[in-house]
Amino acid sequence: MTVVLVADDDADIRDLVAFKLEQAGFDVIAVEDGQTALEQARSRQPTLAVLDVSMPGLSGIDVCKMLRADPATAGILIIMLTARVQEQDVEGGFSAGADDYVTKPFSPRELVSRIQALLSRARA
Amino acid sequence: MRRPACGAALLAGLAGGGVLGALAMAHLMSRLRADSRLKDAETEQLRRTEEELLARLKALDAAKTDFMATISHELRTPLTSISGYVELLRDSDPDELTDAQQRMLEVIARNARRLRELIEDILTLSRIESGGFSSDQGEVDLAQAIERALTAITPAAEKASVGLHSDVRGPLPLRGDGVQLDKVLANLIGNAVKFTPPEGTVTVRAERAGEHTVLWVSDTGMGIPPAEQNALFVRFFRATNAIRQAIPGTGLGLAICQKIVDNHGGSIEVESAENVGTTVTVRLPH
Repeated sequence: MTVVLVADDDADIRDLVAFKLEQAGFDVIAVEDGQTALEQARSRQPTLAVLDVSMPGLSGIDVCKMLRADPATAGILIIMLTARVQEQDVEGGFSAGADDYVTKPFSPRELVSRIQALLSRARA
Repeated sequence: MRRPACGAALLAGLAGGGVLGALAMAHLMSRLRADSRLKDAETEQLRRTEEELLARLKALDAAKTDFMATISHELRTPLTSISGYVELLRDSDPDELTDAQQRMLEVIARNARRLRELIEDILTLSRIESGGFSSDQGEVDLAQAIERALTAITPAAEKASVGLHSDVRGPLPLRGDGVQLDKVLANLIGNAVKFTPPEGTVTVRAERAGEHTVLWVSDTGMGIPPAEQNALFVRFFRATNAIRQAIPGTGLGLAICQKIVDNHGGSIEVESAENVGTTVTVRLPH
């Protein structure tokens, strides 16, 4: 089963994403901050990570950069969740090495199809 | 007596059009002042008071824009949960919910969407007002932009059985902010489709006319009552016939369009007859 790491400090959104992804057949690891996300990514080696941009401590962007910098985790696919829509934030996400970004409020259904699209592109 | 009046005019200017309006009012006040025969010392005192007031108003305006951006951002998180969980419920097994419950969820979903549109429009407006405009100027082909806007609106027009026509001979190059001009086109053509009943038509025309490129968006829609046409560009204003027929909207679209067109040194006007149709005319310098 494909392992997906979900990191969001908002419990309701974390549960929402985890529930939807489990329903879609993924093995989900849900964490509430950037530091834990980094540790789980290193120990569990997920195929894909969904990272909220604004988390206390290490932000999603920080985590993304650190995952990319470490050869052991550089291959993890990354989708950023952001509540900001300004172009510079989106560019910031991409320059940190994210594969895709999704703006809040998002449709859980759409998030799943973005994940599936990313996975099938990566497999091709 | 003059000082309070001057302050009130500045505040009125700020309420009406942000710092630019206040600046225009300040300019007007200083011209009026020049005409009067105030003593030099009094004039100097007045000038200083005005300067202080202006600096404070500018700071206030910047704080307001910042606040709006933060608010819009903070509202997105709870909204994500509301619309996300409603989607989960609506996607669940149809047997688990009664028809009445399905309808209630539909109402929640529709209102969550409305809230989202409001948040986006408020954010757009505050960003345009904060002057995020001037840095993004470039060459824009209005003809191509119209083509893109028409393509984007086609599914909605088909769904509403509204015919789309265009009479645009490109290219129509001008200097401007492409992203913001796209917003104007999407808004005006979107409005035209939204307020036109089935079997009606929306026509987009554009051409060069002297120093300007002129755009016309016409519809055969419900129109705007004459008494309300002056209020069209006021934020959150919605025509009574639109509200009566429960046509969704934030009341911010035309305020956003006007601000963008203003920023481009252009003009926007509306001509409308109730139950006959509306034509919006935009003039933009090349």
